[in-house]
This record gives sequence, C-alpha cells and structure tokens, in this order.
Amino acid sequence: MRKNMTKNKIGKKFVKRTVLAVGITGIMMTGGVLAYFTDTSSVVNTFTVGKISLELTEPGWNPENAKNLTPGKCMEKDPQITNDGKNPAFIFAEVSVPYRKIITVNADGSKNSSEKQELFTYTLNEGWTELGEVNKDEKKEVSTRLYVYGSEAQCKALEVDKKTPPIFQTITFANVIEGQELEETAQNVTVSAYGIQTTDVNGGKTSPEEVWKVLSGQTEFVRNREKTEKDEQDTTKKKE
Amino acid sequence: MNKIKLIATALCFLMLLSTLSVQSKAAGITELWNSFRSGNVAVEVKEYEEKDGELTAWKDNPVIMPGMEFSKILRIYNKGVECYIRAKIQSTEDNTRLEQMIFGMGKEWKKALDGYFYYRPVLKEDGVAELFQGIKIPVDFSQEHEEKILKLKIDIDAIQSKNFSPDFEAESPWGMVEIIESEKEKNYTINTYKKEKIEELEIVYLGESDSLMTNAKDFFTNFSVLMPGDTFGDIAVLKNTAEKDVSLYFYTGVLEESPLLDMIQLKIQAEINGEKRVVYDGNIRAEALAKKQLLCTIPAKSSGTLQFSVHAPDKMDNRYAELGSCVKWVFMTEKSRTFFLPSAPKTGDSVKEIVCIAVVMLVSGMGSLFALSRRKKNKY
Repeated sequence: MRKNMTKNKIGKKFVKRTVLAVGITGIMMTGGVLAYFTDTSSVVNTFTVGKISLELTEPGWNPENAKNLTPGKCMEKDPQITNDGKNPAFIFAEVSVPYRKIITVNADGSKNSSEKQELFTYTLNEGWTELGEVNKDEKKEVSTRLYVYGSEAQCKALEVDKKTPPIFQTITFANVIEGQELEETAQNVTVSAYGIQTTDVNGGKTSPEEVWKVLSGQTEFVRNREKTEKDEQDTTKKKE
Repeated sequence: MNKIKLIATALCFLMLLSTLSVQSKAAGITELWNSFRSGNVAVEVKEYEEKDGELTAWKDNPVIMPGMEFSKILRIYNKGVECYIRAKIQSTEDNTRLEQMIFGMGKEWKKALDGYFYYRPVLKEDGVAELFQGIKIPVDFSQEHEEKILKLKIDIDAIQSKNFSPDFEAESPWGMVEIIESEKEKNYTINTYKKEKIEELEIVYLGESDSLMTNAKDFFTNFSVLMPGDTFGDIAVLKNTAEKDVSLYFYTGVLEESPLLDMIQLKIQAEINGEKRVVYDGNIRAEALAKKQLLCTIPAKSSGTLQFSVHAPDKMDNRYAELGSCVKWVFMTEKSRTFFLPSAPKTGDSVKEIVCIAVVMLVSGMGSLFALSRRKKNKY
C-alpha cells in the first residue's frame, strides 16, 4: 500500500521538496549569527635556560712567592678550571706571558745574546693541547698561547662540578742578568679560561678549531660589548 | 452448562472490548517523533616529542641552550563537531623572537594582525591539526637568559564552522567573538540521525478504514546535530484518499525534557490547493502546541503539504551544547476515538493505555460475575 502511494509522482515531488528545503535554508542564512559554540584550551610549557659558568683557581699559588723575584726562580702556579655551571662545557685557556729584549745567562754562566724572550716559562700538563701559533702583541710585548682541554682532534667535555687538571704546575722566571730595567717592575702572567656548551655548537661541532671559532667570535662580541659599556660609563663619569 | 456459556460469553466480550479500544486509537491517530540533539565544539591539545621515530608524551622543563633544536609536536584533536581553530603563542620573553624559534608549522596556518595563527581549513570531526613540530633556540640567544625560566603559553580556540564564515584576509579573521571553554566533557560522541529510506514523508488518511497512517517514525531524520544558527526544514505530504473532506488535528508533547527546547523555534505551514497557512510559529515548548488544534482540512481525494522547520537561534551559547530532546507529534482526525484527552502526552502513555484496558476488563469482569450471581439467585 505504501509503495503504491509513493511510486506515482516520485520525480516531481522530489524536485519540489528539494526546492522548498533550499528555500528555507536560504532564508535563514540571511540572518546573522551572534553566538556560537566554542571551546578553548591552553598549555603552558616551561623551559630552563642552561648556564655555562667556570671558576679559575690556582690552589698552589702564593702571591708572596712572586715578590722580589730573582732570576731563574721557580714558583708553584697551577691554574685549573672548575665547571660550576649547569651544563657540561668545552674548556679553552689562554696564557699570556710578557716578553722583552733581554740578555739571559745559561746554567754554566755563559751569556746569551740579547733577544726577545719570554720572562716566564712553564710546561704544559697532560690533558691540555696547544692550539695554533703563539700570538704576539708587539705593542704590549705579550705572547699569548691558546690551549684546549682535550686533544687536537676533539674537545673534551668538562662535566658539571668537575675540574680540569692544572694547565701547568709551576712557572719559572727567566735567568736574566741585572741592569735591564726589570728591577722593581711588576710583570703579569695572565690566564683566561673560556667555556662553551658541548651541544649544538654550530650544528654539533666538537673539533677544537671549529668550536674555538664559534667561542672566540662570541667572546669577541662580549668583549666589545663590555668595552662599549665601559666607555659609556667613563664618558658619563667625565661629564659628571 | 449455562454457567460455562455465560463465562465464555463474558470473556469474549472482554476481549472484544480490549481489541476495540486499541483499534480505535490506532484508527484515527498516528504519531511521529521529533528528535533533537545539539552539537558541541570541543578540542583537546596534546604535546609530543619525537625520538628515534617514535612519539612520546612531551616532558616539560627541558634545559635549553643556544643553537639547540628539539622536537616538540603540538597537536589539536577535534572532539566535537566541525570547527575552525586558532592559536596564540605567547612567551615570557620577546614574542617576535619566539616565533623565530618555532619550526614545522604547516601552510594551513596563517598569522593575522591580531596575533593569532589561524588554521584555515575546517577541522573535521575527529580531525587532527598540527601547530608546529619543534623549537630551535637561536645561536645568538642572549646569555642574559642564563638560568632563567621561560614559559611558553599556547592558547587554542575553537569555534563552530557551521554558520560561521571567517575572513582570513581581515585583521581579525574571526571578528569580535567571545570564546569560552566548552562546559561538556571532551569525550563527545556525535549522534547522527540516519535518514530513513523513504521518498518522502507522508501522512495519509485512508477513508475506507477511517484511519491515519504515516510512513516514517521521525520527522527529522536527515540532520545530525543542531548548532546555533541552524535551520532544518522538511516537507510531509498530506493525503486524503476518502470520498469526503477530512480535517486533521495535531498536538505535541515533550518526551525528553531539555533546556534545548526553550531555545528551539518551530514553524509549521500547511498548503492545501495552493493556499498556504501558517499553523504555528514559535517556541517548540509552547503550551499552545500541547492542545489539539486544526492543522488543515484536506478535500476529498486531494493532497497537500505540511512544511515544518526548526531553528536553533543565534543566541544559543555553550550552555546549550550537547543536549538532546524528543518531541512527540500526534495527528488525528476530527472523529478520532481515543480514550485520552488530547493533552501533552508523557513518556508513560503506553502505561496509561494498559491501565485503561485493565480497568475496562475489571469492570466487565465484575459485571459478568454480578450477572452470574443474579442468575443463581433466580434459580433458587
């Protein structure tokens, strides 16, 4: 019975019904919608920025031993670096020693000719490797050597709260003869330590040469900035 | 022997009465149901990190260093109906730098001037969108941040895609909309009402049997869920196969209570011989609908249409999300014989019918017994 009822005008009715339904929808679409079903959800992520921090110590150093130095005097000086940061670090060190044009005496008492010589000498300890050539600052008359904690091929990571072996153990004053204007002067041996994160350095580089390239660039930037800040402070003080 | 005959007669009478009562209701009345369900917009955010090709849940508070690149996958899961989504990424640090840190954001996302990243496609039901895949800390990340705790806040907003048209070229593609959190649990299941396989809905008066019949159970069998701004309409064909005019009446009753009913607007129009008449236009819960009222009069051997539509008004907000309701429609002819007054029927209608039949049977039984006892008395 139902089938008979619906079979008769199927096509016509279907079209009519569709048109009407569309009509109703069209009318309603013109009305504006003021409220909507909505939802909101939030996440908060926490990140802690790491920290590279080094402490340079010389436990065997006694400043009193460095007073009134006599030629050929050997003093204990053992610079070593402790990682007191939050992340492992690759360690580099620069040692600057003054040099002068001086005459020195050999062990047998014979004199050497006058030439530029470093006023202090030391022996590099195991675990450290010298990188590149000696950098000489003619103006300041200072020789600077760069060392890496590790080998020539790879930096060694210094873990948190660990310390490196001393870069050297002792330092010896040159066996100079008197009367070369060294008497009663102060001569400085400067040791600087640098550290950099062990991960993600220029895409994961670990060779000392490449790591130092990144580190020195950044160090240069920091130095320049510090210098600028200092200059600005000086200018302000002068104005005051 | 007479006693047995009498009891048998009484029983037959009872059965006849019961049958007649049920038939009388079926003859002049037909019912249709009208199920509603509102949708819900719900999204869930999950974060992962990829390690050796495997996804694991994101572990918060990693230590970050300049140049560091790490996997952090943020995915948005649609747990509701189709919607649009947007994201705002904020940091305790400079926001512009933060944008540079994020990588792996798909082209579907577009940043607008209002600071939100808008996902341009509609996020389908059960769909997933990925906001980004990881973070790369710049090589020149300032050392001033050492040991600092940085917080990255990501807000995800979702809005129904139906009846909503964002303008992705605008300064604020969603315009001025208030986004509030869905009040519902986010394990939402979409109930889709399947359309019955009928050419069209028909309500037919069969003159020869003086009965009303329909070929469907539910008015709206062709929509899934109601969203604010939605209108669903359909047409039923009204037929009179009798040789005489017939007047059709109707009333409605709520079968499943819901606040949703307070919002839904109903419009009924009857069209007979090209003449349209608005039968009702108003809230679906109105008392007027619960009273028997004339739908139309169909001339002999004629047909007409009944157009009906429900509208979810645009003032519906999240309070009305994911609600369901059901309304019963009762159609009858003028001469319909029923045991009940045409008032709003409740879910317990069937129980009432059984009770009525039982009462009739009880009265009839008592009558038979009374007649039997009188017969005995007369004998003695």
